Amino acid sequence: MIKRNEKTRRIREIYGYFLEKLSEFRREQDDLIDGYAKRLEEKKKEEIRKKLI
Amino acid sequence: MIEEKGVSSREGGQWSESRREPAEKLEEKGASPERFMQEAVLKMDLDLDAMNNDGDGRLAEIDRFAGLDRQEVETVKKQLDISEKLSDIRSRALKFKNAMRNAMLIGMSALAFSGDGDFGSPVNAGYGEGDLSSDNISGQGVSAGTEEKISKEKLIENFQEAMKDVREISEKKWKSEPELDPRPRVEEIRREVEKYISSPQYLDRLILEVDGDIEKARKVQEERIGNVNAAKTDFMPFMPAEGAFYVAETNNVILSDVKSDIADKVAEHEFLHASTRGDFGITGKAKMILNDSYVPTGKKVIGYDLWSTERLVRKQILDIEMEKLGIKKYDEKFTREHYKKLLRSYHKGELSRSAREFMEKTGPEYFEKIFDGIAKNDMKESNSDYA
Repeated sequence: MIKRNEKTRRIREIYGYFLEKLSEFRREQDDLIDGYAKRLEEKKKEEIRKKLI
Repeated sequence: MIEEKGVSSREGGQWSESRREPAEKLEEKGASPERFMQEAVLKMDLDLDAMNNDGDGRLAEIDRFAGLDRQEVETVKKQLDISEKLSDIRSRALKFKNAMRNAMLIGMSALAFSGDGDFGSPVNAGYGEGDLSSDNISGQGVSAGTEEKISKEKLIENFQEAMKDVREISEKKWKSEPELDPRPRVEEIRREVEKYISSPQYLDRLILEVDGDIEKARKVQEERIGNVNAAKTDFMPFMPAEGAFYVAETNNVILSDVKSDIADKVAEHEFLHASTRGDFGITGKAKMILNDSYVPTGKKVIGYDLWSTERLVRKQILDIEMEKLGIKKYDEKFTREHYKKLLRSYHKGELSRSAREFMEKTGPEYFEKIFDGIAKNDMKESNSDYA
């Protein structure tokens, strides 16, 4: 017989696993956006350099 | 500088985790598991939304403070495939969230199927569109609702749909960590059960069951071997080994993805259910003996205690274990000496849960009929007849 608290424990475990994986997706998203921000920054620097020349 | 604005840094904290509450907060003392799950499902939706919103917010800020005109920003975005890549990450995250949500729902339904849960029948605990009891298993909605009974057919249909996501996740896990893959061991157990059912001794028992009709017995044996071979297996993450169950309607054996001795025993138990397709393939005579021989033990009577298929599987497991423990060969006539040894093993804790349950819930006078020739007895070790 599986007790109520056992069921609750399992749900919590799944939720914990979800959060763990979600933080990986979050990191992936952050890396992508960081790369994009860096590229825009380089582009801006290029523009400034061109203007100075 | 973009960096100075603090928007390209993931540590900025402006959006990050803003909508998420600590996981511990989910544990509400006294709340039912169904209510707890409802909250967890809702939290998962919110967590995913928070991730998407954080990303969108950061992108908007980066674009705004880039110091470049709109067209240039769009060109860079296109060059880097930002939209496609972002969409891919989010779609994988959504898929994962749905799989985890389904794992929770399947887990709860599994308890209803297996009879191991403390509810009597499958219920719609009120998870709105996304519930297993609904038509739309991949739906996102979560709404409050009242408990209502749903048909087993519907539960099975939705269960099958939900399993697709779970299978995909498991396949990926086993590909990267093959040592966790329970399938090779489970296939070995399937072969062992097949061997047991294919034996001439098993056929002899069947002949007795069908009143000496050898042809009929052979046919039943072939059908049972076929059922074991055709049984489809699925593996549930986050389900304890004992939570496994068999769905006769679809000949599906649903096992935990845990690898352990108990899991092996449980797999054997479920394959034995598959052999007779639950109650469907049990001979009338066997059903009668199994039903008549049942005695309540004073412990809570669970519905499946009375099902022939549960009684038959437990009896067959006892057969297998007696042979493994050296108590009695399968084709040997059951004697008082065997029973004494069996009782000793019972009291020494050498028998599995299934075998113990059969011992406990079978009228002593029926052991004679069931195992060929044991006299009256009860479960007390000190009984003078068998001491």
